[in-house]
Amino acid sequence: MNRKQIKGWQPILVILLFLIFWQLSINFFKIEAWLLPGPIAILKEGIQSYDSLVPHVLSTVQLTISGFLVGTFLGLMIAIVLHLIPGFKEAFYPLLILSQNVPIIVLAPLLIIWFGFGVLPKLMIISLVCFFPVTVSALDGFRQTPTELINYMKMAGATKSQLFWKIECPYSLPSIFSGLKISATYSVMGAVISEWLGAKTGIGVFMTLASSSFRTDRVFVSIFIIMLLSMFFFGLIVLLERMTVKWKSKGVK
Amino acid sequence: MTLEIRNLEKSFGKHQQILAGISMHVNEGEFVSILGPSGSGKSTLFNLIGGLINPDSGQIILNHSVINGELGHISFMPQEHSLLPWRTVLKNILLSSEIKGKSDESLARDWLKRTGLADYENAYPHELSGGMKQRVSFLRSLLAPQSFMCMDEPFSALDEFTRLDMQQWLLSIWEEQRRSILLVTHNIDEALLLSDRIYIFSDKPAKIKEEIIVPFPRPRQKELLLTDEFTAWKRKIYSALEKEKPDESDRCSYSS
Repeated sequence: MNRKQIKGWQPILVILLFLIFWQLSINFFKIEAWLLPGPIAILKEGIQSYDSLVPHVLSTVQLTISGFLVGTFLGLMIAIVLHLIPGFKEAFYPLLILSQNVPIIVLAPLLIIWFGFGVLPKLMIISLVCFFPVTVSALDGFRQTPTELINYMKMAGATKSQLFWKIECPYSLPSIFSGLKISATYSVMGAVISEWLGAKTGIGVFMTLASSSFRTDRVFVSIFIIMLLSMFFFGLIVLLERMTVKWKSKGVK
Repeated sequence: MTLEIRNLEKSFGKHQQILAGISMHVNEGEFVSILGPSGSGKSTLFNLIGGLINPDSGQIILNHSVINGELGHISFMPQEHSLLPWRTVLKNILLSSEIKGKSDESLARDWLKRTGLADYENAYPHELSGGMKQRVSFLRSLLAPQSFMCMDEPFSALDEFTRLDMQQWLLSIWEEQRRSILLVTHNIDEALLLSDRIYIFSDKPAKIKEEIIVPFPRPRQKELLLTDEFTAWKRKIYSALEKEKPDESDRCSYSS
């Protein structure tokens, strides 16, 4: 119990030391606040603009969650279709990889030209960055299902759908969760990028306004908010994983 | 349930013949073992009976109908327990009947009680010892809707003490149930203790070298292992296995 507490504090200690080092160097080298503000100044600014920040944060959270849900749902569906229909995986996998090579920064304005400033292009951007980790990890999970289990099920007369729902699906859950963790953090970034390109509210908007008026402290405030949001969503997935994949808790071979 | 195998042949590729004309049978309520060196094509035989692969020629006949290449006719107990790690013991036992649509939870509970596993009903496989896992795996195939059981070296991964225990346990259940069982093993003691008849397989390509009818009366106890008669039979089987052994005579793949 004691040990566990100490373990949890180690990363926090490292981050604290980093912040202290940052603050001290700002003071020591007398760096201007508009170039690089210290953590204390950033915290002060964050508290001061708390009221104006809340609607931005809420809007980003909302966008992130809906984008994440759409993206991961699509990702899972794509994985299942590619897995279940013979030949599809080989045929479509390269296309999936290519989809990740399209620079989002270039694609996003195009999507806005095509679909306007509504929520649709934003969801598309988040989905595009979110679906890939889920698809890849789910496909890996399906593929790695042990042959002994599959053979056993076949000999027992299992149908293809029984094989999928009773064996491949539960077997790949831990692997799918790895993908979900990556997607969860990506989705925050995706939401911010999509907000840069045309939105009324959101951390992305707050950030663009701040950087165009040289409010570096506010830029850092938004950076920290993005980090916290990412960690929050990551933690949420970890929690969900612990609740779902109980049997993995003690290291199954 | 009876099983008859006629002239079964199987090769992989052009030059690798695995089974060279196997003919054998298992009568109603009979415990039959196949004894042979590791890698003599015993697992291939099970894959054929289980319907995972098709034979090149020959027939597999279960209850008078040919089941070549058909899945879902036998109840299989694999070498590795193949329990699902995300299912509890009870749910694992129910799996075999679940596939065919009807699972009887109270029957499964009943069996857990009868076989001394009642306390483990809600345990996950990773919490069980090797012997326990095999017990659960055996119960799963016993409760399968298919009544013909095939067991592929089920105790080979266990230590000597656990194995003896398991053999005793299996005997006590089987002598009550009298299901038709085909067991593959490379353990002479195990084959003699458990079976009514033993087929001795040759090295690759597998042929039946000899058929031995085990004369010991049932119910059998583990004390049987120490009798002179048992040792005499063991010697007989050993010499049958030794016969026309391939050139590399330094291989000792028969564990006793």
